Amino acid sequence: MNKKTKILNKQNNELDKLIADENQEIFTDIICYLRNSDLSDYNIEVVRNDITTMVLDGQKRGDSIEQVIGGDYREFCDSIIDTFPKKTSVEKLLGTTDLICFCMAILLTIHLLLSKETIDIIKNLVTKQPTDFTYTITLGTVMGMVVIMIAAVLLVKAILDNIFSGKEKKKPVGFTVLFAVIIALLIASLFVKMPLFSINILVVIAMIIVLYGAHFIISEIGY
Amino acid sequence: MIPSQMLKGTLEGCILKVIHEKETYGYEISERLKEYGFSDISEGTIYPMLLRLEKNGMIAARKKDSPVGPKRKYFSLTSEGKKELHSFFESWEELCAAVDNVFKENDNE
Repeated sequence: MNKKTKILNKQNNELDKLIADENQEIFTDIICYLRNSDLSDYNIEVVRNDITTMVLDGQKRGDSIEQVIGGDYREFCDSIIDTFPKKTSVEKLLGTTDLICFCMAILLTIHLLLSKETIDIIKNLVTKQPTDFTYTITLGTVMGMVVIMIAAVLLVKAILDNIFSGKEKKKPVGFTVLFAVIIALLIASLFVKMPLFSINILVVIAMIIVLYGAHFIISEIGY
Repeated sequence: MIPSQMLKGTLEGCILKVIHEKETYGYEISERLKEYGFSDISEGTIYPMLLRLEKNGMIAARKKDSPVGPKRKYFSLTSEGKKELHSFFESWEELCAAVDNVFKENDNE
């Protein structure tokens, strides 16, 4: 997120707090739907600012969000999205790269903090025992990371596809099956101990720093 | 109620006309349109159109203080917008005349 976008984002976060509870759910759904679209971060914040002002003005008049927007929220959002140019292939690639870098950085950090190797290294360093800095990446680790990332993307997609369905929100059978498969794969990944490769733990820390750095740089460029 | 398909092509021209009258903001435009007979218009209906008109350089927006809340976007017509409004009205008159002719001729038969 570049500086201009960050400033607007901060202003919007403050304005969001003034949205009445009864309007909050639909307002959040609209913003989530727009965030998942092809709009750039900056355009999302511009539109978010406009919609927030519209809703807050409506609240002062005693109008609900339904009266302000007109009821068909999906059509409202799609009309807004159609107004802006679609993301180019480069922008889409930057977005995907950013997402992967950020997810991997978080997952690697969690894995590093919870791994037996890290605990052993700390224990040995404290007790001044000979220390082995080798860190083994197993097939289960890689499997778990990939499954978590795919599951997160699919879960967000499933929620957004259903976002404006109101009370008749349907839970497709495919979604339940997919959820079961993801859980099964995650459990299985805990038991797959086959080592893929071993590296120095400092290399893993360097990888995490590079991944966070890449995420930071891509976010600053904006896409 | 005017069908939405029929409404789509004409509403942008009417929005330009309302903005031409005076610098104004979204809610006021929707209220003016209601007064003119567009019964089912909300601020949400016209917001995407305002975005498109602004993007295409037909209208310009500036933020002004609002007595009731955060700063509002006020819209005014650009020179491009004035040209577009003129061209819309010419096309509209042509269309009206053609539709009138069709109906008059059929009524006489």
